[in-house]
Amino acid sequence: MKKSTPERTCSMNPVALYFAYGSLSLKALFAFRIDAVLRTLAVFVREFASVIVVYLILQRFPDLGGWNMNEVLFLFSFLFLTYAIMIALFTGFRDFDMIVNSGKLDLLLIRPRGTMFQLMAYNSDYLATLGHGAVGITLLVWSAQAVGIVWNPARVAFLLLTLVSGVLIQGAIFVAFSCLSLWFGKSGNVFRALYRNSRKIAGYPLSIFPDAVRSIVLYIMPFAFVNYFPAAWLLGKTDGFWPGLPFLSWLIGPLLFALAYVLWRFSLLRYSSTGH
Amino acid sequence: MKGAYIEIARKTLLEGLAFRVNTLIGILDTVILIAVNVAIWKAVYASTGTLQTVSLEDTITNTLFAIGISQAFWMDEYSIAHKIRTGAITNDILRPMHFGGMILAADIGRAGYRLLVEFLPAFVICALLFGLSAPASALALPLFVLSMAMSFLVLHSIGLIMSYISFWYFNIFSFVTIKNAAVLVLSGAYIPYWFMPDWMMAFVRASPFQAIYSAPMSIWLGHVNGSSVLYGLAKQALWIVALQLCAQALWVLGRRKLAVNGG
Repeated sequence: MKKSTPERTCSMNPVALYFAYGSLSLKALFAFRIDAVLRTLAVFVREFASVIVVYLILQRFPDLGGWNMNEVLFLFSFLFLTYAIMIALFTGFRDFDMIVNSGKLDLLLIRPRGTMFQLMAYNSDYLATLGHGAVGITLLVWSAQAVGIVWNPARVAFLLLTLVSGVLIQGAIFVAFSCLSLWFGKSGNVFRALYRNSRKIAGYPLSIFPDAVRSIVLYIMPFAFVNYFPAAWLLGKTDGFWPGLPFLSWLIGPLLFALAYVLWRFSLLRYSSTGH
Repeated sequence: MKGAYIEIARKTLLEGLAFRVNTLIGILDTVILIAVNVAIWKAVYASTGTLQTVSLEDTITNTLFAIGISQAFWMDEYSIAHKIRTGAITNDILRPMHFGGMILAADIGRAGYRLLVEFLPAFVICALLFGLSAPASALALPLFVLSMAMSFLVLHSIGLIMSYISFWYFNIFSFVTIKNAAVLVLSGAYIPYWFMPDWMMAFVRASPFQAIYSAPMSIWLGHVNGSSVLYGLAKQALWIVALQLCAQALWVLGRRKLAVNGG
């Protein structure tokens, strides 16, 4: 890479700048190589542990609300794949509490680039992408074969659109909660508890849960549209839900992200820095 | 001197109470987590429930206690690691107190707060919603409490070993994360020991993981009786001693390695 002077960085187009940031993130992450490998492995093991729990339960029982083990693992794979892509783009919003409290946000605000762009480009956690991505791809390839999905162009397109929408849904959630941090100073604990639980719920067929639990992943953090409805369509199930819901998933991602973006712009206007 | 340790435990307990919103989130978090897992068990039992050797009610009881308490028995390895890394640990070493004892007192205070203020309300709500099996006998209740206290000590000792790794290794994230994943799968909270496959159970029996939630739950549910209860408790105690010796050895060796900037 050429040496980047301030003048050069200013004149870069956004894509080149994004990759310049990306290569710096990678350099930072791999400054300690053995540690980077160990951390990726640790994330992989942590995420795989939840898969093992499902696997072991479904070894003892034939099915879970009409879904067999391979089908549940197929459902699971969407969560990992979308998270892997999402975290590469939205790490800045995951760590947003810290960025605000340390005053780093003010630094981003005075630079001649969009704040959201900088947060997306800066300090991406590619180790999480690797850890989650490895679990996601392993599960998807293995379970899709085991349940016998025939990949025709329509299904591949369906899968890709679903993944894009799933990334946008989770990105919108991260951005929206970062806005709460701008308003109330801190929202990390509520966010983490809700996010963790929603992801946990989304690992299983929605039909097994009582209404109160369902409403969490339908209305508060709409994870049901990240994996449940699309996976059910690919597997030819409806579980008694309206059959149009899988296609509604594509709309929900872009729509939620647009809303989150508006909220973000509005919240930034109101932001008056920390520590006074 | 004993008073100082009690005071540390009391202070950490009160520290938790300072953030009321966090307390509410903690209760809600535990209720949701238990509700989700109960729904999973109900769904799988609906497929072949009657064929299982252990009833749905017992499995739900395991979920209520083991998952609920696992939320409370969460060790904070990173704060000790941070002290070791920054050298702030020298302040603690200079105090006329035993370092491991101070950490134990703080861990007890934190777990006490989470058990009383977060777990207990969540447990009552979930017990009303989902029901639970009564303890196997009148004697099972105190023995269960004793065994659960030892589960805490096992987890505390493993946590201590993890934090002391930072004498040698800069970032303990990988070690702690892999340990937590192992506890999640093997401790008997998310997969009760009666659903573990034989090869896994053989490993768990020979490891400290059985001394975590499987031991107290088997007492409550009456899966062990008479002398095997004592055998289980003795096994837990042995694991605590072994892990503590290991931690102590790491502490002694680590202190020799400790190099603080400018010293």
